[in-house]
Amino acid sequence: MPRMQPEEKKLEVEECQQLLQLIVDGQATPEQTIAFQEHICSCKKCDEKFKLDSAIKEAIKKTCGCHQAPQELVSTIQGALQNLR
Amino acid sequence: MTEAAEVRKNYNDVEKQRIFDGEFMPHVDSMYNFAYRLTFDEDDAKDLVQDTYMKAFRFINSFQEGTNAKAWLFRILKNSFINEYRKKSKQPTKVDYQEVETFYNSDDVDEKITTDLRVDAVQDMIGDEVSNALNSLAVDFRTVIILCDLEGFTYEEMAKILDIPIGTVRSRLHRARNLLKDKLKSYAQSMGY
Ligand SMILES: [Zn+2]
Repeated sequence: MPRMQPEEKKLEVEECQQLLQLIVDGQATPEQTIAFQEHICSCKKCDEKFKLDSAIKEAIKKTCGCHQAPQELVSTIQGALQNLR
Repeated sequence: MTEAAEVRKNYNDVEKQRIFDGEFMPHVDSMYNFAYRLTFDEDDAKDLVQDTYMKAFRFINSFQEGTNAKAWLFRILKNSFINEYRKKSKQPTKVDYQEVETFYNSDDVDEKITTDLRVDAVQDMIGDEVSNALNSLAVDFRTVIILCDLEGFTYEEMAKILDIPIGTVRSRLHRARNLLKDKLKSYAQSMGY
C-alpha cells in the first residue's frame, strides 16, 4: 500500500501536465477541455500553472514576432526567381 | 509512406507564378523572423530565406496547391539551416538531453518554477525580456517555441517540419517552456517581483 501511492500520484500529475499543454496550445478535444475545466476547480496548482503558461504564450506572441523581412529581400527573391526560369 | 509518394504535379509557368506569389510569398515575414531567430544575423537570415524560396520554386512540383504552404516552407528552411548554416556556425549543434525521460521527471522543477514566477510579472515584460529569454535557449528548444507559440503550428505540423515524432515534439516543448520560465524568473527577480 504505501509503495503504491507515490506512483498513483505521479501518473495523475503526468496526465495533468499533458492535458494542460494541450489546453494551452488549443489542441485539446472538447472532452479534454471539459475534463480540465472540472479539474482546475479543485486543483489550485494546475489552475495557476495554466494561467502562467497562457500568460507566457501571450507574451511571446506579443513581443517575439518583431523581425519583419527587409524590403529589399522580397525584390531580391523576385529577381533571383526571374534568373531561375 | 503514402504522403511521400504523393502525386507529383506538373505546373505550367503561370501556375508556378500563381502559387509562388499567392501561397509562398505571404509567409516571407514569418520566414524571416524564424531565420533571424535561428541565425541571429540579418545577412544570414536573408540568405537563408532566399535559399528557401529558391528551393521552394525548384521543388514546386512536389507541393500540392492549396495545402499547407507555410509548414512546407518552414520545413525547407529548417533543413537548409541544419545542412548549411548550423554546420558552419560555431555554436554547439547538439544539446544533450533525454527528452522523453525529462518530460516525466520534471514535476519538481515545474512546481518550483510555477510558484516562483508570477503571472503579473510576465504580463509586465513588455520589452525585450521574453525575446531575450527565448534567444538564450538552445536552438532546438527555441525552435519548438517559435513554431508553436509564435507561428501557431499544431504538434502534428511541427512533427512534420522537424522530422520527429509528436511525442518528442511535446516533450521538447515542455522542456523548452521550463527552461524559458527559468530565464523569465531571473528577469522577474531583477524587476523586483
Ligand atoms: Zn492538477
